[in-house]
Amino acid sequence: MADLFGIGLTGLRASQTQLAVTGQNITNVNTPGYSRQSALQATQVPSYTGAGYIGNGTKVVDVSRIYNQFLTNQVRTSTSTNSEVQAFQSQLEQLNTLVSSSATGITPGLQSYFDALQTAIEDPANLPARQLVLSEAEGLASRFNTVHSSLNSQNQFISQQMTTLADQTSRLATSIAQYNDSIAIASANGAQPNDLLDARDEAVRQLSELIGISVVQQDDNTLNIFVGSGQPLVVGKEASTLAVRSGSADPGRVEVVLKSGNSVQDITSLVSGGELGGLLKYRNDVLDPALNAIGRLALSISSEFNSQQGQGLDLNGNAGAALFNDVNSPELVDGRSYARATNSDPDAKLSVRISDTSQLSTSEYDVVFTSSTQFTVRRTSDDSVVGPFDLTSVPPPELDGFTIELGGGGIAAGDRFLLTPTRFAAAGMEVVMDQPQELAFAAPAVVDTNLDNRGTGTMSQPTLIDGPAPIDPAALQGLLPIELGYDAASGELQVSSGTATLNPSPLVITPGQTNSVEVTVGAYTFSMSLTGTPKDGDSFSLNFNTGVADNRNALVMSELQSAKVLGQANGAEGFSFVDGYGDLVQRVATFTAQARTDAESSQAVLVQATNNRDSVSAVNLDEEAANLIKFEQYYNASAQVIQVARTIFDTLISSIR
Amino acid sequence: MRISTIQQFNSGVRGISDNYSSVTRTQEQISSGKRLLTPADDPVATVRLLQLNQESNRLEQYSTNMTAANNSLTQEESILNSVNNALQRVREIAIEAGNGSRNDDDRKALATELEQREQELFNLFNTRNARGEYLFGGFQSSEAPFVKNPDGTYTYQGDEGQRSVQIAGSKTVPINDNGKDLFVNIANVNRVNTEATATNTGTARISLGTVENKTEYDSTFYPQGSVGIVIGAGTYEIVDSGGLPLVPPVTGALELEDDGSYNIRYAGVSVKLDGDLQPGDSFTISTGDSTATSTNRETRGVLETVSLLRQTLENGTATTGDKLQLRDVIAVSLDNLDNAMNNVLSVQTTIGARMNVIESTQTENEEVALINTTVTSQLEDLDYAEALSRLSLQSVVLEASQQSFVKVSSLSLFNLLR
Repeated sequence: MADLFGIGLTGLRASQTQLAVTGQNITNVNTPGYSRQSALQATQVPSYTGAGYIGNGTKVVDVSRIYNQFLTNQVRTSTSTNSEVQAFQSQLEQLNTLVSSSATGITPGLQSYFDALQTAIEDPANLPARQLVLSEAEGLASRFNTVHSSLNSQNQFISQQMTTLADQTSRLATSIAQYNDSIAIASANGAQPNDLLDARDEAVRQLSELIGISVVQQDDNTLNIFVGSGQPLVVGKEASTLAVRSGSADPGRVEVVLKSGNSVQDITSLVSGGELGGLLKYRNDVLDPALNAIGRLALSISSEFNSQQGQGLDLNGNAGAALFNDVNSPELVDGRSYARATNSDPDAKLSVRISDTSQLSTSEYDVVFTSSTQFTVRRTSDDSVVGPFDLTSVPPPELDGFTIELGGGGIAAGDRFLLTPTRFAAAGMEVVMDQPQELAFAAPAVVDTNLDNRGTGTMSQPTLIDGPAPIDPAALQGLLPIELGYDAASGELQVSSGTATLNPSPLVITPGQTNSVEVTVGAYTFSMSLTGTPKDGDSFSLNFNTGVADNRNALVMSELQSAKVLGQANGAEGFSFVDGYGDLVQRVATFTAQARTDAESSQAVLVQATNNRDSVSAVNLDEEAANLIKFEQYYNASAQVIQVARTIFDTLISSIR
Repeated sequence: MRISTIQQFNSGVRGISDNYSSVTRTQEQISSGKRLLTPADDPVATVRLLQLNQESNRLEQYSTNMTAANNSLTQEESILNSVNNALQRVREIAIEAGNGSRNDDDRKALATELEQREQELFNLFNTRNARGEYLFGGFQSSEAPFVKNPDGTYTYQGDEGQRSVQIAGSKTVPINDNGKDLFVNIANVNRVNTEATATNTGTARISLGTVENKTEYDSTFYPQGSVGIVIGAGTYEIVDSGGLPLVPPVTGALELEDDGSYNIRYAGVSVKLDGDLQPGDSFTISTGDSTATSTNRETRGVLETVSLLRQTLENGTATTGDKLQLRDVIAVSLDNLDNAMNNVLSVQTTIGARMNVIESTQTENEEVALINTTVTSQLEDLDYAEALSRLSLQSVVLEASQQSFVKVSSLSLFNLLR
């Protein structure tokens, strides 16, 4: 007869274990990464008797976790994607608000500035109106400064955030390596250390929130973890560390490095996924182009207004002084090139001077020297390489609206420089004019009609179409007046006094029509039109303008509001200031809208993956409650078996009495 | 499908928070009245809105410009009206002075009034606007455009500048006119010199020459430069500057007019001969010179015309020559005054035309602004009816998700374990 006591006991033991596992499940219902466990029972080895094999009760052979490797991997991948998109989006939302807000955007500032200009045009001699133009110009410049500093502080925030993320990554890598070690030891006896495995999976999942990783399972139950394009973060029980340092090409942009042992590797361009990937993507795809676009706009506004100032006369009769600071001021030029620390002369500088703002792009440029003077330039936006150029050529090599010269120091083959022609321009924009009289609203010359003209010919006021920039009023005063007389015999307009050339020459006038007249005096070319019917001997004189109520140059300035002065590289039609800014707003808005959709979909994917995993592995309390009842009854039943064994035994004993 | 407890809670909470965020968003839209809360809500519409915004700001600025231009033009027009009135009065004085019944004293009195009118015109030409800028100086607005020289003549020291303001995308309108075009560059009818030859035996006097037909004068007389009139027996002949007959010869009979003078016309120029004509007497007519002090230039300023008339009236009519001179000067002045008034009138017409342009542009701009507002509103404004019904639906959904969560989460087997 089999041992009923023994069998009952195995039942008691097994049900206790089952109850313990159920309790473990219930208490870990809220533990992140916990996989529900179940105890597996098997019969004890039966005993052989004459009647055959008789069972010896039950035993618990394994406590296993309910787990699906594939589902866990899915959660990890979608976590990585999701946190990348979320980080990207949260940065973008800030920029999205910044560029569109009426308090910080550029458009309202531009509008107020041009409004003030229009008011001054109506009454160019009015000092308060001029002062308003200056004040609005200052307002515009400070808007640029503000936008730049907001973008710049975003960059600083990103740098700090990257430092934190790198620290967390290193910490998690270390703990995963420790888990690897413990798990390898614990599973050496053949059993699965369920809770250690769960904890390690959770650590790996947390790591995937920070950075995109790939995970490779090893035979000894350890996980190897790689970042970037296969750079090892964790191998067995060894973990590398992730750190950030100031960029080697661009000190203003921190880079991510992987340190393992003595080797340090820059993996910035390789990182994707996770919060770190999102931040890097934002910095490269949005922040830097935005900074450059704002800078390009600032450069264009400064340069266009300064050069138009130089084409006119101010209230004091002088050539217009610069309204904004020079786009090639030493401070601005200084910030446009970075030498690599590994260059032969780390202090060498390239001097990048803006030559034509309409040709500027929003890209940055990588300069590589193939000898001490020869270099090629790679445009980072489209990776196109132009060159070779020669540093010593005269005039200096020019591309995309700027020129490159040696700014100091020595150069050797292999030296590299990063050029950022537009990045800091918005920060450096300022109004340098302080006297409203200095606004050059007047054109430099006027036409006077001779009082003795017999014909009805009238000549329009001259427009300066070509001349030195800025003009030299004293020289011009020396060249003027020029008298233009009409000769009926030849039908030509001729220079009757002073030295000038007409264009075309001879200049034949068709009486009664509008004839365009171009006069070149020294280096200056003026354009006028002659209408009506002049008579022989009629004359017009071109004089230096001494009038204060002239607004012709200011009208040209106000036309800049809608003139297409940006983005004319490769013969493109280009766009205006406002459209240039609108382009940036739209790009940011599109990025944001895209990021919102991405965030929603990646969130949905993550939810789905988590649900799938939870559906299999997570605890259901109802199930556990049922188990509790089931195993309680099982325990009770096993106890009843012992009770029966005792009753049988008691019956036997009392029959003997 | 197996649902774990954590899933049940997560999905309940997620549902509530999703619903809550849509309710919040709708509420934000309703409280701001805007469909678009940030550019990312509709990037394409945002750029369109930026452009529309700029456009409507520009239209606003144009409207301000038009008001300013209208003010300037209205002021100029009213000054020109006063100028015209003054010129009208000067013309009346000239006619009155020509009245044969008036004596020298009467004319002195008229000259005194004329002096006042001259001063009035001078002041009007130097009108300043509210900001103290001279209206008629062209670009030279800070100094008086007309100055009176010690010798009584006037100089225009402004220029021919004309200021424009922008009133539409590609439309500018001039807001001032310069004194030179208005008051100085006035065609002078007395643009020829006349002279009796010193050796004439008769005492006849040649009047001031007037150009009656400018086209003929320009085409025939001006190229000749100078012609002579040679008197025959009851006839006259026009000869060239060398005294030779023209080809073909130009001759005519001397016929006494009602006022006792002989009128001779040649190539658009008209002169009168008064007094005793003897055969063989000759006179010359030549084109005027262009020195600054000449009274026979192509043009004569309004102030010069008035001043010349005044001086002639002041001179008196002691001799026959003076009387004839008075007659000639009055005739010339009347013509020149007519020219001046016509000139002012034509500028007034231009001003009217400009104001019409401003008015029609204003209407156009307002229409464009209206369309802009409509489009802007369609792009960014909220459809309240839709939003409010959306809000109630979303609130219902939110409440439902909250209540159902409470209901479902209380379903636990443990509650039944007693």
